[in-house]
Parts: sequence; structure tokens; C-alpha cells
Amino acid sequence: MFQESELINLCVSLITLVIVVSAIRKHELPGVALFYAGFCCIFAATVFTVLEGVLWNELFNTLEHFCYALGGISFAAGCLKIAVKQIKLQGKDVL
Amino acid sequence: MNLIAFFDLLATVGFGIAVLAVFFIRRDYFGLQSRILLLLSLSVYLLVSISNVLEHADITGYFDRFEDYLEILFMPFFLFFLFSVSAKFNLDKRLAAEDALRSALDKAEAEHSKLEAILAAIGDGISIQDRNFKVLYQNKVHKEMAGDHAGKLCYEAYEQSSEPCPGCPVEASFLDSKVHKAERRATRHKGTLYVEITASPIINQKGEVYAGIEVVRDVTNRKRMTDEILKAQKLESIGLLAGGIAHDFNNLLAAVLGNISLAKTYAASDNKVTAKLEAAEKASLRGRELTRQLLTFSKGGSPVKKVMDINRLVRESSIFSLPTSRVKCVFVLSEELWPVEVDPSQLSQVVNNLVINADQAMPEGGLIHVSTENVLLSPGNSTLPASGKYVCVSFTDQGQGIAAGHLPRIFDPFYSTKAGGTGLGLATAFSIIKNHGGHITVESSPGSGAKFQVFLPAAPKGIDELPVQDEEVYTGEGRILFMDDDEAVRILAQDMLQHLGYNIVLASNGMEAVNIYKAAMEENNPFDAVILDLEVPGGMGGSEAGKKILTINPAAKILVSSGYSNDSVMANSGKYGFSGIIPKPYKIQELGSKLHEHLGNPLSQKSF
Repeated sequence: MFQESELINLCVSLITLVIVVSAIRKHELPGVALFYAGFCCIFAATVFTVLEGVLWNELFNTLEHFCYALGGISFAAGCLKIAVKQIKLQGKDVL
Repeated sequence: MNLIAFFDLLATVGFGIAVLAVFFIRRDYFGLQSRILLLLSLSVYLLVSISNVLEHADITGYFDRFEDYLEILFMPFFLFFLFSVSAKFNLDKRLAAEDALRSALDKAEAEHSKLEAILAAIGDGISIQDRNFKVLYQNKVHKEMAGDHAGKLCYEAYEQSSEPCPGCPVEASFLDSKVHKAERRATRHKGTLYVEITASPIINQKGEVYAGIEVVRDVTNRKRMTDEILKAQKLESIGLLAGGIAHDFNNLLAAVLGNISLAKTYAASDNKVTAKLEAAEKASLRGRELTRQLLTFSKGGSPVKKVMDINRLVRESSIFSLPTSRVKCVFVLSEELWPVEVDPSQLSQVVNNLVINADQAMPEGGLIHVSTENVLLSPGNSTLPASGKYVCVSFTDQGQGIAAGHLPRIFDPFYSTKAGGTGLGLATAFSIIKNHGGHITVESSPGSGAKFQVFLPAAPKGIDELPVQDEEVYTGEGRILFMDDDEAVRILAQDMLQHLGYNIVLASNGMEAVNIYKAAMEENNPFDAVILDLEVPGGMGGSEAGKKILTINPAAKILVSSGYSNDSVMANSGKYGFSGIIPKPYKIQELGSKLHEHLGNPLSQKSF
């Protein structure tokens, strides 16, 4: 069964994906590669969320949560990488 | 714990660490707005993950109801985060580019300033023109020379021409890519300039000439100096020529004047003949004065000074200078004037120059006030000579006067404000007065005439001699050795000296005279006096011969004679051991008088 919120999320994700892919191809933003990876994981999780309602519920549900975990790790790695690099270079400057 | 629960826990830890790490990212890396958007994005999934973990623990939370909608929020937040980061990075990039540009501009500005300082320090004008002769650059010196004309066509700006100047060195450089030089006369707001232009092409990387640089050097002073040197050389040549001519002319005049004076003595009883001979003699005397002036001009020699009252000389020279002019002289001459030691012919030339100058200042006619007076100068007046007794001769005209700008230079050689003027008259006057230890001043203002004052030091001794009475002829007795290279002069001297009663022996050069004198001394038949010509072309002259004769007989009475009356030997004859001088040409009366003066012959008598 499809849920309305999941479909809306999927549509918004697709639009965002197009923009992100475009940004990736242009190499506009340096140092955010792990953020892109994290976003891709979240996007995959969104797709799996929709799919789990149609078939192989258990498999796609597992994949969905795996993608969340992977996305979290990617974002954590990306943020840590930038923070550590800046701390090393210029010292700490907290918000 | 099942696998899904583990993944949820892992996701919770991951997003949690990510949220914490965001606080350690420097503000200026993403910017505040981006960090907040990233924080919101990550917080969405941190909450979702926490909710999932709690669900596994059978704890349902507040967020469960909104979980699906929370997930939708992630995408816009993340999208705005990307936009914001992109804007920040673009801004940073632009700022960095601007910084780089500003830095490059600063560097270029510094280089430009350095280059400008170097170009200004060169001292020559530098201008750059493109292929269309448009002025692209001028340094400070060039702007001072030609005015600021950046952006204009050079030939229009500098020469007021509608096309490139003929022989333009910059144009030549455009054509053959070589360095070209040219010298130009340019009229600028400061006056006429003479400039030397060196033009070089400026070539781009393709080897094409795209502009030309011209270095302009002001050579006005150099050119003026060269012109003055040329003038001086020319004048020196003319002087030498004039001196030579005057010397030869004096020898001719010596024969003419001597023979006339001799003829006068022969024809003493015939009034008609005497009158004609006197007229011829006067003309010859005028000729003698002219040659003396010519010699003064040509050699500027040492003045042959004698102490005299200059009133008569000033009056006669002034009148002599204005024979046919509409200008008249008015004389106010002091009767008690102190005597001064001057060369009459040189002072006469000064008077001539000043009177002629005044005459030329009054083309419509007028009066020149000539005055003489005694002045006692006290110390402290820097414009006048040293303190002491002076005779002041003033010449005041009623002309247009002299502009203040010209006054400081009017005594400079070659400086003249008159068309065709040589610039020598006042310079010669200045030089002569200086040589007499005197001073010359000028006062004038436009429209009120000019006043020249000549200060001559008063002589400490009395007047040297009474004016020679032309008609007195002193005869005498004795042996005279006469040396002159000119046969006509020798023959004349023989006739005159014999007529005066002397025995004469002739010599044509110094060596011959010395030998004759030596032989006479050995024969114990010495000469009473020796008359030597100073200049003997190709032979021993009077100066050397006189020395040798004085070696033979230190008491010898030697008179030196020359057509160069201003020669330093003539001016200082005593220093060279001579008893006196007889300037050529001379009359029989002058010759007789000189011999009478130096021999002191008791048998001499006056003959009328």
C-alpha cells in the first residue's frame, strides 16, 4: 500500500536529486562529497520506503534502515572531516 | 537486538555525531545560514532515527505521529543548504578574485609609480604615441615642455599641423622598426626650444610595431653655446684678419704719414703745398685712429695708458660719433676734472659705442647729455666699484629706454635687442672699462631714456705730458740704428732721421740689428739709440733683438715701434727693457720729439 506522505517525500526527493546531480557534475562545491553520499543514502531509503509497501516488505524495510545508518555515518564523516581539517588549520571556533 | 534496530542505532549515532560536528565547523567556512540549514537537515533524521530506536524498545514517542512529514522536511532543508553553500562559495570565489585583482592592481600601480619616478628622474621628455600618432603617455618633463596632450594627435597638439610632420622620427620608426633621431626647433609657451628627438618602436609579441616612444631632450642651451662658440671663433678669425690688415695698413700709413710730414718740412715756405699736405696728413691721422680702433677690437689688447684730462677726448669722440645724425650732444664737463690714466684710443671707443647706442635709441632725433664730474665713492655701495676717487662720465639719452628684463644682460657678449646688432658694442665697452679698473653702470626704465655712467679711477699722479705741438720739430745729433722689415719704412726713416740731423744705420731684421750693434760696440763706435720694429715676419723681432742688445750693452737706449700699438710689449715696454715706444704710423715731429725726449740731446733745437 502506498502512503500519501511517502509519495510526496519521493517526489521532493527526486527534484532534489536532479539538483544535487547537477551540482555534482559541475563540481561547484568542494569538500561536500560525503554530504552527497549521505543524501544519496537518504534518497535510496525513501525509495525503499515506498517499495516496502508493494513487495518484499521485510527486505526493503531492512534496506531502508541500512540506508539511514549509512547516511548518518556519511554525514557524520563529512562534518567531522571538515571540522577536524579546520581545527587543524586554524583552531577551533565554536558557534 | 535485530538487524533493523542495530541500523537505527547506528543511524542515530551517525546523525548525532554529525549534528555535534556541525558546531565545530568554522562560521566562515559555510556561513551561518548554511550551518543552520545543515543542522536542521541533520536534526530531521536524528529525530527520525531516535524515534525508530524508541519504537524498537516499545516506547512510542511524540515524533511518531509526525515522522513521515518530518522526513519530507529533510529534502528542502538540504536543498537550501546546497544553495546557500553554493552562494557562499561563489561569493568567496568572487571576493578572492577581487582580492587578487586588487592586489594585482596595487602591484601594477606600484610598478607604474616606480616607472613614472624613473621616467621623471631621467630629465628628458618622454612621450608614447600609437600608430595613429595619438599620444598615449607623457612623462612630467614632456608635459612641462609641450603641455598635457594625452589622447590628442601629436602633430595637432605639438605642431598645430593637420598631418604628421615631415621627417618625423616616430613615423620613420613605424616604417622600419629602427631607432631614428632628429633635431627640431619648437615654439612653446616658454619660447623657442631646440630639441633632440630619439624615436624607438615598441614591438608586441607578434613582432608588430604598435606604438612609438620618443625621448625629447632640450638642447637649447647646448645649441646656444655652440652658436656662441661658432660666433666667437668667427669673431676671432675676423679679429686676426683685421689685426693683420691693421698692422700692414699701419706700415703703409707710416710711409704715407712720414713722407707727408717730411714733405711738409721741405715745403715750409709754400703755403699752398703745405695746406694740401696738411689735408692729406689729417686724413692719414684719421686712418691711423681707425686702425688703432680696429686693433683694439681685434685683439682687445692691454691698454697703452697715459695720464690725461679726458674732457677733450670725451667731447671730440662724442662729436666724431655723430657726424650726420639728427641727435646732438649737450656737454656739461667739469673744468676741475681729476686726471685719469687711460688708453685714449680705447676710451674713445667706449665713448663711440655709448654715443652710437644712444643715437640708435632716438631714431627721431633728440639730445644726449654728456657730463663729466669728480666723484668720491664711499664703501658700502655694492653696485659701484671700490671706494675712492673716480671720474664719472655720464651719457643720458631721451630714447625709449631699456626693458627691465634686458638690463641684466645688456653687457653680455652677443646679446642684442636690435635687429642686425652684433651684441659687441656694450660688451667691448664693459671689457675696456674693466681693464682700466673702472666700472660701467646703466639706469633705465621703458619710456624714460637710459643713463650710462662710466667710472674711471682718478690717477694718483699728474698729467704725463703736454699735448704734442704738431708743428714743432726737434732736431738732434747722434748715431741711430733703425730696424724694420718694411723697406718703405726703412727708406722713410732714413730720410726723416737724416733730416733731423742724425746718422742712421739700417737693418731689416733683429739678427742683423744685433750683429751691427755688436760690431759697432767692438769698434768703439756705439749707437746713441736703437729703434726696433716689434714684429718681423720670418725673422728675429724687436723684443728678442732688444734683449740681446741689452745683454751687449745694458745702458742701450732702445725704442720699440709697432703697428700693433696695443701689444702687451708696447703697453709695458719698460718691463722688457725698452726706453720708450713709437707707435706706427708716426710723423717726423713725433719721431724727433721721442728721440729728443729719450736722448736728452743738448744740441737738439726747435725748428719751425
